Amino acid sequence: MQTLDQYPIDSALLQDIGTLTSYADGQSTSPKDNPDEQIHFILSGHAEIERETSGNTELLGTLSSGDAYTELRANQAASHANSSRITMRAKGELQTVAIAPSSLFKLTATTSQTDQFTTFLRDMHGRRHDKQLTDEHPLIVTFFRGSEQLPIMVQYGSNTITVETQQNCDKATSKSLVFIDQEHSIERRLQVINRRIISAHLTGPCCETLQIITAICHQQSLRHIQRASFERSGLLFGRAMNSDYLCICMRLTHSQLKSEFENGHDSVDALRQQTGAATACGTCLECVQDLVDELTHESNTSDTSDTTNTSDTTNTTLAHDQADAKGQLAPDFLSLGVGIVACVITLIGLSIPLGSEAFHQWQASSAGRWWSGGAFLCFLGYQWWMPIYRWSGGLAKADSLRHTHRRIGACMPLLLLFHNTSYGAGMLSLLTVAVLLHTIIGVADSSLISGQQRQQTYLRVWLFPHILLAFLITVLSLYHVWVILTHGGP
Amino acid sequence: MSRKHLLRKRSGLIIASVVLSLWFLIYFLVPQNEHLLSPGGSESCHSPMACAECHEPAAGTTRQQIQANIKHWLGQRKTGADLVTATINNDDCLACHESANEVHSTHRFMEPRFAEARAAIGPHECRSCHSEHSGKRVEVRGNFCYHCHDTLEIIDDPVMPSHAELIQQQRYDTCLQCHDYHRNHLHQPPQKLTDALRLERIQAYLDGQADSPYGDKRQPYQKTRQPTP
Repeated sequence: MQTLDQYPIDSALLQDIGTLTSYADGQSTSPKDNPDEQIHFILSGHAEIERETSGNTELLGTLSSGDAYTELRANQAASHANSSRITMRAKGELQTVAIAPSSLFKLTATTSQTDQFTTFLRDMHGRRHDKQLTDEHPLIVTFFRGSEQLPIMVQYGSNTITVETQQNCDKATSKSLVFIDQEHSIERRLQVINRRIISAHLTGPCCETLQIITAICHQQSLRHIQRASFERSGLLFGRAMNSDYLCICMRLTHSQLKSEFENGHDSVDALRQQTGAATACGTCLECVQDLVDELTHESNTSDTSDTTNTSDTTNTTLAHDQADAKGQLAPDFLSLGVGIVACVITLIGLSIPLGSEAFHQWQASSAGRWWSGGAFLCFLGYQWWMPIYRWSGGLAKADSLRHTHRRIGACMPLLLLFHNTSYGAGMLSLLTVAVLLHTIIGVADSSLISGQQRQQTYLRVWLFPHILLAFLITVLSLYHVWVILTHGGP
Repeated sequence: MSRKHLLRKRSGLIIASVVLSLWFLIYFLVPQNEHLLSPGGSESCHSPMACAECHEPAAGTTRQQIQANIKHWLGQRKTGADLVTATINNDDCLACHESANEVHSTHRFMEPRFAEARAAIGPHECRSCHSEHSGKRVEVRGNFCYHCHDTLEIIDDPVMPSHAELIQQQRYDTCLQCHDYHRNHLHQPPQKLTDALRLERIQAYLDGQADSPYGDKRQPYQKTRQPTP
C-alpha cells in the first residue's frame, strides 16, 4: 500500500477540501453497493484489510495515519465471481478524509512537490484498476473553470499530462513549441495561438505542470523569451520569468533589443550591429531572429493586437504586451487640440488680463506666487517621472505613464498662465517661450505620423528639441526660484 | 531597458541638452547679464543699476540663514531670516529718492488716523505701489486717493469744478490729472479740470510706457545710493 509519508501533504488542507469521516472499532470503511471515485486519506487510527473467502478471513495488511486508499471497485467485481470479498475495517477509532477527483487540482496546486504527488495519484489509480496503465486511457480527467477562466480539461495519464482548453480554436493556425530530452524520456509539446497556450502535452516529470495549467486557464500571453527558453530548456516559468536576458554574452535583455527594434533597427543584422547581440557565442541568434519576426508581425497587426489585448487587463504579462503593441503609437488628437488651445489661451492671457480683479490680486500676492509657482514645479516634477522610469528600466511603467505625460503636458501653458501675469522679461520671457514651444512640440509627437518606420524617424528628430526644452525649462525654473528666494521672496 | 543602456543610447542627446541648459544658466549668471533675471524687467531709471545697489547682503552666512529659516519653519524660531540678500524696505528706496518736497512721505502714514488706509493700500511702504521688477512705475490700479481724502474740505476752493463737487461725484480718477502724487516734478496744478492732463497720458506714464507728463523733476535723484541714516 502506498503511503503518504514521503509526501508532505498538510492534513488541515485535506480536511478543508475533503469529507471527514470517523469510524468506530470494527466498522467497515467501504460502502458495499456503491463504491465511489474518491481517494481516502487516513488522518488518525488504524484499519485492517481483510479477504473473506468461504468463511475464512485473511489479513492482507494494515493501514495507519498517512496512508491512503481507494474504493476497490475492480477487486469487488472480481470478488463476486470468486465468492471472495475484500473489506477494510477500522481497528480502534479511525478518521479518514475523502477527496473527490475535482478537488485534486486544488490539492495539487498547494503542494510544492507536484510531480511526486501526481505520481502518487497515478499509483493509487493504477492499484484501483489493477491493470497496466496506458496514456490512451487517462487515469484522472478533471475540468476546471473559474470565474474568469477558460474551461479546461486535464488528463493525468500514467506518464503524461494533457491539458486542453475547451474553447473553440483554429488549431490550424497554432504553432508548436517542442522540447525533447531523450536521455530522461521527457517530451513537452505546447500548442500556441496568438502567444497563448491552447494545449499542453507533457510526458515525463514536469515541475511546471501547474503553472502551465494556470497559464492556459488565465490565457496568459507568453513572452518571446519564455518561448525561447522553453525550446531551449523545456522551462517556461523558470529562470525565464525572472530574467529578461536574451543575449547573455552581451548582457542584452529582451526589452533592450525590442527598444532598439522600435528605434529603427528592425532587422537581425541591424540589431547585431547596433547592440552586439548574437555576436559572441551565437547561441541566441535564432532567438533574435524570432524576436525580429515577432515584432515585425506585431507592428503589422498592432490594431488587432490592441483590440484583443484590452479584453484582459488583469494579466501582468498582458500589460507588457499592450505596452509592446504601443510600439506604434495611436494618434492622440485630443492632446494636440488641448495643447494648441492652451497655448492660445496663454498667449492671450499673458497679453490681456483674463479673469477677475480678485484673481489677479491673489496671483500677485505672496501666497498666490507660492501656490501657483509650487503647482508649476510639481507639474515639472511629475513630467520627469516618465523619463526617470524609462531610464531606470521600467519600460512598461513608463509606457503606461506616456498617456498621462502627454495629456498633462498639453495643459502646461495653463499652469504658466496661472503663475505669470505677463510674458516676463529676460530669463522669464525665455522660459515662457520655452514652455509654449515645448507644449506644441510635445503634443505634436510621433503618434501623429502614420507608419512605424516614419514614426521612428520622426521620433529621433522630435526627441532632441523635446528633451532639450525639458532640461532648459527645468534648469531655468529652478534658477528662477533660487533668484526669487534670495531676493526677498515671492 | 536598463538605465545604463538607455543612457548610453541617448547620451549624446542628454549631454547636449545639459550643456545647452548650463550654457543658458551661466549666461544668466554673468554679472553683465544680471538685469535679465528681473522677472518683469526694471523701471527705466533703475535699469542701469546693479542688483547689489538695492539688494544688499543679508546678515549672516547662507548656512546660518538657511538654518534660521528651517528653525522658523519648524516653529523653533519666531522669525525667519533673509536669504542671501536683505529684504527691500523704505530705506533702500529713500537712499536715492529722499525728497524735501515729498507730500506723501511714508512715515506720515504711520499716524493712527491712517490705520484703515494702511490696511487697504499700504501707503506707508514704497513697495505697495512700486513693486519694481514689473516694468511699471506703479503697479497699483484704480482710485486710491479716497482712502484718505474722501472728507477733504477746502475753504475758498479756486478750482473748477470744486474739490467738494468732485468728491461728491466720487471722481477720484481725476486726482492725478492735476496732482503729482509725490510732488517731485515741476508740474503746477491747473485751476480748471479741462486744462488738466489726460488720464491716458498719466496711465502710460504709470505703466512705464511714457515719460512724466508732470514735467522735469524738482530735484534730481541721487546717482548713487546714499548711506542709510
